[in-house]
Order: sequence, then C-alpha cells, then structure tokens
Amino acid sequence: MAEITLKDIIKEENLVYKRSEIMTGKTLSYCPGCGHGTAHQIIAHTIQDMGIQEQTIGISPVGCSVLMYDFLDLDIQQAAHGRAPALATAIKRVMPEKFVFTYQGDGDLAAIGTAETIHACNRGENITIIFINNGIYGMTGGQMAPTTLEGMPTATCPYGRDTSIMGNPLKITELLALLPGTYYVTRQSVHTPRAVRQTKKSNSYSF
Amino acid sequence: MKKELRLMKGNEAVAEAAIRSGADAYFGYPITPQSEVLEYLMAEKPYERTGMVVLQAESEVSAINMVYGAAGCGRMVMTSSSSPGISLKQEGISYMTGAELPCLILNVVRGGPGLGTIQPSQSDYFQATKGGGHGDYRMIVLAPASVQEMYDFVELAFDLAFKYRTPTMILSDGIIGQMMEKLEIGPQKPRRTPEEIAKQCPWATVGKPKNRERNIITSLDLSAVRQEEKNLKLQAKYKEIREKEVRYELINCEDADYILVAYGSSARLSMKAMDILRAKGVKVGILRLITLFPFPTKIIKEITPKVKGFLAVEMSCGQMVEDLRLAVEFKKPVEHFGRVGGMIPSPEEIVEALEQKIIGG
Repeated sequence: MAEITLKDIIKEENLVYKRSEIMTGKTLSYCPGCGHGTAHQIIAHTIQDMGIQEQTIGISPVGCSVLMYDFLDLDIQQAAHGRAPALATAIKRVMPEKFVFTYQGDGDLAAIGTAETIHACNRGENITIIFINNGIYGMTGGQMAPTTLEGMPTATCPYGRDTSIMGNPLKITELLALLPGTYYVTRQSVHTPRAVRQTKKSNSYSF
Repeated sequence: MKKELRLMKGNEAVAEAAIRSGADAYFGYPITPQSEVLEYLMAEKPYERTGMVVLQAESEVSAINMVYGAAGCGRMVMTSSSSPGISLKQEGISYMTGAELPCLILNVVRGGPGLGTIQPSQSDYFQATKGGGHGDYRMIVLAPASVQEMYDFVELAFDLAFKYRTPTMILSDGIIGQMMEKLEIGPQKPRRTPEEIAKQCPWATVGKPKNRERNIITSLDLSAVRQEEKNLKLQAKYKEIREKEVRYELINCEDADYILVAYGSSARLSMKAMDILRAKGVKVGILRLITLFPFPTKIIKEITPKVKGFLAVEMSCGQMVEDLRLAVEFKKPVEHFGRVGGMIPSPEEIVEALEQKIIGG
C-alpha cells in the first residue's frame, strides 16, 4: 500500500472548511481567543453562500469591531456608539431591496444604544442585528457592561457586580423578543465547532 | 411658465421644497417651533408623490443618525429640529463632517439655554458657525429672512452639501418658521435614479460589486498621521468654501454712514428701522448676511473705510457681533443690540440703539 502524502489529503473532496472570499485576508486585530474573528467568518460565509455581497451593507459599531470594515469585503458604514440600528433603518428604507445588518457589542447595543435597538425592532425594520455579547466593554479595558453577570468582577466593579449598587444585568434579548416588530431572535455561541455550525445555521435564517 | 404661488408657513415651505427638489428622505422628531415640517410631510405622503422616505424617529439623536445612514448611501436626506434638539444632533453632525457626508439640517431656533422657551431667538449662532460638536470642523450655514428663502435655500443647501460633501444647515428662527407669507414654488424635480446616485457619489455604500473596492463610510482613523491629513483636507475644503460661497445682500449701503448688520428675522426688523432712520435723514444701510459660515469678511473690510460705524442686530446677547468685530478690526465702532429669551426687538428699539450706541456714542 502506497504511503499517503499531504498531496493526497489536500484535495477538493476532502475540504471541510476554508476562509470565505468575503474576508479581506487582513490580519485580525482581535485578541487571541476572541470570538469576533469567528463571528466575522460566519457572516462572511453566510453572505458568500447566499451570493449577496453586492446587495449587502454592513454597519460597524464603536468597540473592538469598529474595524470590521477592514476584515469584511463589503460596503460598510461605521456608526456612532449605539446608533447602528438608526443607520440601518435609514439604509434599508432608502434601499429596501438590499440586505442590511448591524454588528454591535453589549455596551453599544444594550446601554448607550438601547433606544435605537428597541425602536428599530419595534418598528419591525427589516434588518439583521448581530449582537456580540461578552459581558464587558472590551476595547476600553474590561469595564462593567449592562450584561455583566451578578458577582462578575470587571475593571469598574472589581469586587464583582453587586446588584444592590450596580443594578441587574439587562436581559435585552428576552426584552426584544417580546416586541411585536421583532421577527426572529436567537441566542447562539461560538465557543465550540458545533456551536459555530449552529450559529451559522441560525444566521442564515436572519438574513 | 405660469408661476405657482402659495401661502405657506416657513416650516411648510421647507417641507414642500424638500419634496420638490427631489429629496430622498427626511427623518425627524417633533419639537416646537418646527413640528410643521414633519406634520406637513406626513400629510403630503411624499412616499406616494415621489418615493421620498419620511420617518418619525424615536429621538433627535436617532434622526440625525438615520440621516447619516441614508447620506452614506449617497441619498439627498434632511432632518429638522429646534435648538435643544439640534444640541442632541451635534454628535451626529460631527460624525457626518468627519465621514464627509452631505445632508441638510434645519434649525428653527428658539430661546435657550436649556429648555429655554418656545419663542424665537438667534442664540444658536455660535453653535452653528463655530462647529457645534467635537473636533475641528465647520458647516455651511444659510440664514433665510423670508418664507420664500426658506423654500429656495433647501435646494441651494443640498447643492452645496453635495458639492463639498459636508453637512449644511439652514439656520432659521421661530418667526420665519411660523409666519405665513406668499411664495413662489418651483416645479417638481425628479429624484435621482440609483445609477445617477452611483455616478454622482462613487463613495456611497450601496453594495459592493465585484469590480470595485469596497466603500467605507467612517470618521475613524487610528493613525495620527492620516488623521492629521484628514483634518487638513477638511480645512482646505473650508478655505475653498470661504473663497467661493459667501452670500450677502447690501441694502442702501452706497451712501450709508451707518450699517446695520443682521440676518434672518433681525434683518427684516432692521429694514423697518432703516426706513424710520432714513425718514429722519440718517443715512443707514443694511448688510444682510445670507451665509453665516462663510462669513462675508471681505465686503465688510471694503465697507469699513466708507462708514462711521456698525450695529449688529441679532436676537442674542452678542454672537455674530464677534465675527463682525474681527472683520472691522477695530477701525470703526461696532456695537451690538439684541433682545433675548424669546423677546423680539421692535424697529424703534433698533433705531434707539443705533442713535445711542453708535451715532451718539
């Protein structure tokens, strides 16, 4: 029996994963272990699979992923902190035939941008909001976010989130799911390959 | 062609002008004394007349960011508000200036500070002409003095906004916004097609085709070297605007010994004051500012040697007068007269101010 070489393995029929053509190839600026890169790949693969690159406008937030436009080969607008759903509302309304998505962190979406988020959902805007929740403000150095869990220490609650002082974590996803204009809400994770596949599946629905 | 005449409020004239100039979208939030803009648009259903989008946002903050989104797609888009609401929009205006997005913002000024009053004022001059939000930037600012100009300046403001890729403001006030006057309105212009928009605005985010680089709308550049270049590029733009876009009106200035410098409602009130003074034999002229930025410094420098003094008439505690003093360079007396907090000066008060502060001063 002939020896199996690398050449025998790297073949089209054996391919299980490759970088999406929607990724620019620029080195990601995210920290090791961060889920942003995976989340970007999921969006890129979804857009590539659906063949909608030319029909898609993305909106990057304020936070680490403000530089999303460096990594995704799409037309992208960068929004002021929390305002991405307002931009998305207008973009979709002036170009109803396009796919419009926002990409926002928990501070962006659930603190400074709570009003924009709730009202865009409540109006039933035909947009996709991708909400990346890591429970802290990442870029500014790990401060308490609206989603920081009870007891969880952060830079601005070093002894853990004391709900008697700092209030409770905001269950924004559950809250949005109650609104009549919200069509589809799902909570997913990217911490295992199985979770990533599941997230990609759910993301396709939202587009 | 037969002229189309209407009797309209200033706020309504802006709304009709937006539809007729082929605007693509309006996003707003109610606030006195400018709510008629949104009310008129909602009643007119421009989405049926021309396909123009109209939406009441959840806040002024959201409205200006909707404007950002639509402007980023190369659309002709506007918002309107009054002083406290315009303060809320400053973040968005700063971002749009940084991202070089064209748009029209109407400010129907009311008295401040804070919630102030709903009565007319001109106390937002500094905010409009000196930047308003954070960062080194300016906006083109047009000051209408009639309902006709409320109408006419909409198309002018859009033209300037797109020419220079910068937010442009119509700085009106509660008098001009609320009063009704006869005006002539123009024909309906077609909205631009997506192809025309793509040609006029190759930078617009309308979806990336395979054969071009992606378009990015952002005010961010973390490289200080590039951010400095960006700032200098903006400053070069403002220099060009200062050179090319100054607009003003000289009324009876040829033989004038004294000049009333005013804009908007104050210019209308100054007209009456000028008539009273001329009847008394005092040679008074008016320099009516139409652009507040760019400020008409050159013409003021030309007039200065020929006159005995200037009186800035504005419904503020003295804002525009600072620019006037800089232009006159202390070569002639410059004084200020204004009523504030929603009070409107009478022509007689303007006459008295000129007589006491300049002629007798």
